[in-house]
Amino acid sequence: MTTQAHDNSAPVQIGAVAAEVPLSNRQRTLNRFLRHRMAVFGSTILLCIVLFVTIGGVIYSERDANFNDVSRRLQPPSAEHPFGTDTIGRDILARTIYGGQISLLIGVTAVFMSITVGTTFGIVAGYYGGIIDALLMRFTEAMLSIPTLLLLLVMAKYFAGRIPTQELFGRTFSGSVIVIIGIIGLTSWMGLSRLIRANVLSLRESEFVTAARAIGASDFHIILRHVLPNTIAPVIVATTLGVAAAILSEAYISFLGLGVQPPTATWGNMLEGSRSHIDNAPWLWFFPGMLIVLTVMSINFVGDGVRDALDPRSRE
Amino acid sequence: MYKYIIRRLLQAIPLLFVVSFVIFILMQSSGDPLATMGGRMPPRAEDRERLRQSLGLNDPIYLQYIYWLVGNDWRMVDSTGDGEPDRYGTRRGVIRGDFGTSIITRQPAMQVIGDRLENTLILTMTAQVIIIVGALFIGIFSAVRQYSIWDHLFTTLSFIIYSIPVFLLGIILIYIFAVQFRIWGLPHLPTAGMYDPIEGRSFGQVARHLVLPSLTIAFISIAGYSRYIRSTMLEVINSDYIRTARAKGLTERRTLFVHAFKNASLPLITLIGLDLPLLIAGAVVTETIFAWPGMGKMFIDHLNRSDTAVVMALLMIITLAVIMAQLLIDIVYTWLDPRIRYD
Amino acid sequence: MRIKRLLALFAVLIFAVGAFAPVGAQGNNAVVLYPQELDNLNPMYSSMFFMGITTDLYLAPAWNFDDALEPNPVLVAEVPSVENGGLSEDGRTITLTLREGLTWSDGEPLTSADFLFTYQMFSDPANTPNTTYPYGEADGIIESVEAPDETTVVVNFVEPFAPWVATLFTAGILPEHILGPEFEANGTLIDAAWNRAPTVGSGPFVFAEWEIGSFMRFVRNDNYFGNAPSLDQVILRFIPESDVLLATLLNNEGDLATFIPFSDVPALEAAGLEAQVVPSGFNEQWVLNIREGLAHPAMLDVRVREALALATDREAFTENALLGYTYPAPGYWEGSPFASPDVSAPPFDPERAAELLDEAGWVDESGNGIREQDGVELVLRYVTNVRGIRQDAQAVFQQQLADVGIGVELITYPSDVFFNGFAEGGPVAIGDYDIAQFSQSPSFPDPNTTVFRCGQIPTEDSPDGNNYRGYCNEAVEELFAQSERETDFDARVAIFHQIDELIAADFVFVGIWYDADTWIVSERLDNVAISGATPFWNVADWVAN
Repeated sequence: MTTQAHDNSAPVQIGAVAAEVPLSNRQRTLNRFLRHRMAVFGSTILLCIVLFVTIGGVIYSERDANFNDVSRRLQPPSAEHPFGTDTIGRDILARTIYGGQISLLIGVTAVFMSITVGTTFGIVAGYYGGIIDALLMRFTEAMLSIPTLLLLLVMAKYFAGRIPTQELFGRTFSGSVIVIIGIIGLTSWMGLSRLIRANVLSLRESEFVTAARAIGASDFHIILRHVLPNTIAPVIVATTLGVAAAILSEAYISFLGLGVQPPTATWGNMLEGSRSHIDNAPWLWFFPGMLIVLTVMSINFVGDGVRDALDPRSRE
Repeated sequence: MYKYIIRRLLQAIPLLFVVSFVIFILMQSSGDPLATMGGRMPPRAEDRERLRQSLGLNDPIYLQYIYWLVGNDWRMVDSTGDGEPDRYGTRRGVIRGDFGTSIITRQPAMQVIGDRLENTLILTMTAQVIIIVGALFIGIFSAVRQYSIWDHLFTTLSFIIYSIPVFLLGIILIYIFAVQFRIWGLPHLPTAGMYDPIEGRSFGQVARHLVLPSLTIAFISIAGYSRYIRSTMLEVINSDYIRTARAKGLTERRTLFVHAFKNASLPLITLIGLDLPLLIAGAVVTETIFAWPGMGKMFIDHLNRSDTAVVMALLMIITLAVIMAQLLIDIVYTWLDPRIRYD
Repeated sequence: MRIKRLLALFAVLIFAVGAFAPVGAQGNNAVVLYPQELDNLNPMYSSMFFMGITTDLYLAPAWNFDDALEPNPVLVAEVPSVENGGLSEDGRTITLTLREGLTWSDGEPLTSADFLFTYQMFSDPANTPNTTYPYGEADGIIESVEAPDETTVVVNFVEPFAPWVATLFTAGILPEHILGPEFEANGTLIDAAWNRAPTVGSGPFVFAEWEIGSFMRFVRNDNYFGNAPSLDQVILRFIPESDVLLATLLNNEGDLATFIPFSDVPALEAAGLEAQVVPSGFNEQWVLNIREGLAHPAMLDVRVREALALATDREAFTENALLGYTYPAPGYWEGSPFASPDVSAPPFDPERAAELLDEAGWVDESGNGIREQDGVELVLRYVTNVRGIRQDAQAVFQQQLADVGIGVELITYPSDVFFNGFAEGGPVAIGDYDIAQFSQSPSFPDPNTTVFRCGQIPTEDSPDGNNYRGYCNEAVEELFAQSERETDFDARVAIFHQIDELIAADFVFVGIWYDADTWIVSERLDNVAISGATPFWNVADWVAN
């Protein structure tokens, strides 16, 4: 938030008009968000889920999540295993915690990637225009015209098994996690880049950019200091909604057998692995399923709230 | 206007070219159609090599792409797989309307797709009707009664359902309405398929098998649509010109439907228009779960066996449909709103 | 507004009709549920397991195999043997004597000319069949096939060819009077309409309809030369998702199904369905890589390979995860008479495994829990394809191997990447693994296989080859060569017992579980006696209640 406030004050150097505007804007935005009851509700649930996977990660080690004992398979929830055990006797509570970390990690990093690509494309295309714009936008359209799920599947198949297991921050990540993050990120940036391009196109002609150009600021400087901060609203909305979509995408790819591969748990592949036991071991799908639904739902609530809050037209 | 249409169509050509090239490379370098050929054991190496040769899979990828694009009837090929080119190729290439032959069914790719198109449209069209009707009802209702208990209820419910992975929803519906209903002795629905092969294909049979898959698709999508309709309706209702209409003493219902709805329908048409080409693509996950013999299930079957010809043909058709739909929307726009000009 | 009401009405109508339409009953039909759709109905153009078992419905073979895996004569009067004069003493000539009065479903006579035609079609490269084995010229097995009269077929082999009983004329005989003119006209059968609509056949049922993506319907063949079938129709329905297939079975919407996970069997049995577990020749196994330069150096040491087997409790895995429906296979030929009674599955003995590893010089000096030697850590690549139960096994064995100080990296591939050939960089074929888990079978019910043959090791120079282990043992090689020439059944059994024992001692095969097929049969059907090799061998006798 600090960068945003700082960057928002940039026009002040030139215009020297209302220095108080950014702050009161923020205040008003926050108020609008807080009045959105469902957004507040969503944020609360989301916070609980984040606490669940982080504090849970302190209580249970990753070893607990992968520790198996086939003789204790498919045990219903009990004091020892509050969420029951899975097909090879792993503790589902520990797996939902570590699976949640991976699912959320996939959601956040995939979206970060998609935002990076989308923003870069959008800004470059919009700011420079001409042939660069035409090329980038044709490419964007090409990507847009293929149904995302089909493209995801083709790419998931292409990359499957090609990325080796990685060690990061003392944790082992199956190569498939990186594949899934990559392909979700690379198939979800197009909408955002079009949106940003449109914004940049109108900004390009705005007074403060013209002014900045007049005082000899470089393109890079103008983009970084003036254009980027002013396109932040659509990016924030796209980010929130994108995380939810990415978590769902991961579940769909898992369903089709191309997702993150066990033993690395994700909510999606836990759900997929439970499908033969819908009837006889409902705890297998109930907990990961519930967590996916809650997470996606609350993120969408938050996204809805952020959209309303950032939209100057909505005043209730 | 014509100039605009022609320009857009010309722009579509390199676009299709890029899409086809990227997907071709991805397809040809991921799985191998001859790895298992659907069998439990990989085929004998001798057979695999002979078939690779006869199917032209030993050619460099760029050459395979050129064959796919323009055909190979100008070049001797090894049709028997013995290592010696023996006759001219028979493929005429996509630009001459030949999308190649499915490695799995050994039929023309277009025929493989054509066999499924109707089934997919039955499912997706039904689902789309339910989505539009349901979303209009919910969307308008929640806009008119903004912040009422019903608005909150609908909104919350649609968000919850929207968040359920579609396969989980589908399987749970099967277990409730097919398996459990039967155990409870209630009229129950079939688990999968498009109609009972013994009963034969009839309206009643297809309708019965349609219930669960179409509702599964619809439930997931109503949420998004109804939110959209709600917000555009709110915008129109709060606009000056509806206030004027109300002030003039028009009744509530009339105001709503004649004026507000008419104005809110423009973006709705866009939304539906953008979704139309995707109806052809079918619903991959839903069709797979319910064993619905449509395009989505076909895509998965053929993708899993690396059947490049069929996967490419389907993706090309959908891409083309998307481009056409976008163009159509642009044209409809200029009709509906004379202020918009493209030239 | 009016349009909206109309649409709403339409929707309501659909669902009203849907909910109250009559509930289907199978009647005098059998509904078989397949998890995959068939690709082609011409046996030349399909390699699918499900296609292989379907031919018994509509295309009669020379013989098929009954539920005791004994050859059951169909088109021939007797299965050839030395005793009945069908098999020459030197094992190089087989004489098939056909039954009298064989007909196709259209009333045309089925004669030795159709056998000859089948041979010609499979061996003609212009047809590009999926496999030419054993007919092809390049295979070098058959010297000639002759049809001296209408009911006699004589096959001459280049060398005595023992595996004939499982491979020769068992995939169904093709109708010359239908396909012959097609071949004349086009020079190939690849585009023949018959391939996808074999309306003329010779089985107890005849093809009627293929609703793409949904089902296939076969109706009673009124011209069937054998006993008239009792059922009116056999319907194959394609349901890809195993949980939905399970629900369909539980809902009595299907009568038969296979590839049912063992864990679903109790629920089905509780619902009154019968489970028939039949040997199919397949054994889920570890293929241990011993190719020098490709495998981890430790894999070349037989003590390390034995330690891998001893360190993993495969018994407990089958007992618990597979509910005791199966057990670890001791050898490659488990489930057939060719498995040696003297070979037993290695026990679970982690202490002994640790001793062996110590002896082999792999010790944990750095104290990180993983053994090493000369600076090389004992971390193995354990690969398989995407399938729930295999990935469960991976996780369980990874933990058990870690307990004796062996690190394991798990890698999973989609099936068509996993089984790719050498030239396409398939991980198993190019040797980019240490332990590979999948299910394999010999050319069941015949014991022959090429996966242990020296000449079959894939290399850059000869990429063809199925010996992914890189196993080459002179004694085994000699025994295999001997077995191919041996036509006496008991003598072959003795040879294979020796092979089985030698391979067991070399620890290149570790059986994970004996992979028999589970067939679920509804109580509505009687006389269903599934055979592991040709499940529908007696479909004409099936009776529906």
